[in-house]
Amino acid sequence: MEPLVLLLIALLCMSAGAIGALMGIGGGLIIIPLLTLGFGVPMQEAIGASLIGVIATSTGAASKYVKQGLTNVRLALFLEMSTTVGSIVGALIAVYTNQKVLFILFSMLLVYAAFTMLRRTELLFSPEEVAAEGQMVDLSCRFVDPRSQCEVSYGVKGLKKGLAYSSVAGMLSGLLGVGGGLVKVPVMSVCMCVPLKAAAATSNFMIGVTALTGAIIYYGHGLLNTYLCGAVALGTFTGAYVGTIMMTRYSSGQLRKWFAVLLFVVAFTMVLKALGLWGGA
Amino acid sequence: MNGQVTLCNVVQPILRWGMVLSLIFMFAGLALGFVTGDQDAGVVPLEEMPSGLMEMDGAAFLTLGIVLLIATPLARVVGSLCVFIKEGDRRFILVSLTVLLAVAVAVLLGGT
Repeated sequence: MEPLVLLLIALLCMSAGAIGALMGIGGGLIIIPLLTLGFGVPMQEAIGASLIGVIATSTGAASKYVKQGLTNVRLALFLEMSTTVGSIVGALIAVYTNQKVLFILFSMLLVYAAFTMLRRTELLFSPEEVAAEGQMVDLSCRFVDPRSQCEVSYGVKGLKKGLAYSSVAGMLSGLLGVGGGLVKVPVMSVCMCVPLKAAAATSNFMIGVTALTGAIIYYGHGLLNTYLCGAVALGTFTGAYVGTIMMTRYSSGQLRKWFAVLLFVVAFTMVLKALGLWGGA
Repeated sequence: MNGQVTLCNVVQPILRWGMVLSLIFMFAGLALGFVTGDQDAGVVPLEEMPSGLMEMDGAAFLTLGIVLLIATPLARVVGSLCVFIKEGDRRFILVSLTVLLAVAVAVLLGGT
């Protein structure tokens, strides 16, 4: 590929990194169609580069979010158990399922998640309240909101529900190659009462591990195009940094609305894809 | 609060250094590629990487950057595991080990 084309790819991938860091998603939804439809990159190379871009987004943003306390490391590890196992199951049964039906079902799930995010306002519980109810493990966490400078201390509820739904999120990402973060953020926010910014930061952190297995497999099979991966990674790293700065500018309420909009847009593209009208992710 | 600070103090440097090192090698690889005019190459297998780096091969530098990037999320799970072992937090030792095991199983299944 020409140096100028690589530079252009890096610049465009910044948007994926920024949205990924802000919303807690991987950005594969943007990178894959961008590379395949925009630059004619073969699907496999595009998926490989997107996996690297997702890890770069996750690592770049998390190095800042962990410091701010926005990432709940324990919660991330706890849910990673079920997302990783779910994604293995998903990948194993992918051959036997009808992709079109899955895409339609997935888009319906996203629309439902979008409405729930819009309808309900944030509900938080203090660590003490949650501890009094008796949970499996203590996942409470504390952070300083980068916008209001207020300290937020929260307890995490609904752990069983969270585990169950995130295994579905993992399965979907194994089946369709997308959708981990799109499901995890609403689950953490609505079912587990995690503040939205912490949910986005934690989901973003988790995605690094989800993409890791795919990336190792692609590396082992020699399916990564080094220069393309390099350009995508540099772009998403920079974008993720921009995303962490944007996070300090917006309130949870604003981010919640944007997340719902994002869910609607993705649901629409999934339907288009199921109908064969969209070639990307 | 449940060792949040210790955990962050271990995980954050892992992420920071993983990011910085992989950025340096990827940037060097891209620059070398632009100079030599070679901009299309697959990953270099691990065993050929040292010689590639000595020969200032852009693809070898990029591959090292990619490997470091892939290793970063894995390293932070291992790092958290070490914190939990030190704190004697049995439940979370189990949680981290399950995650590592699941990653290993996924790689083994995907590799065949």
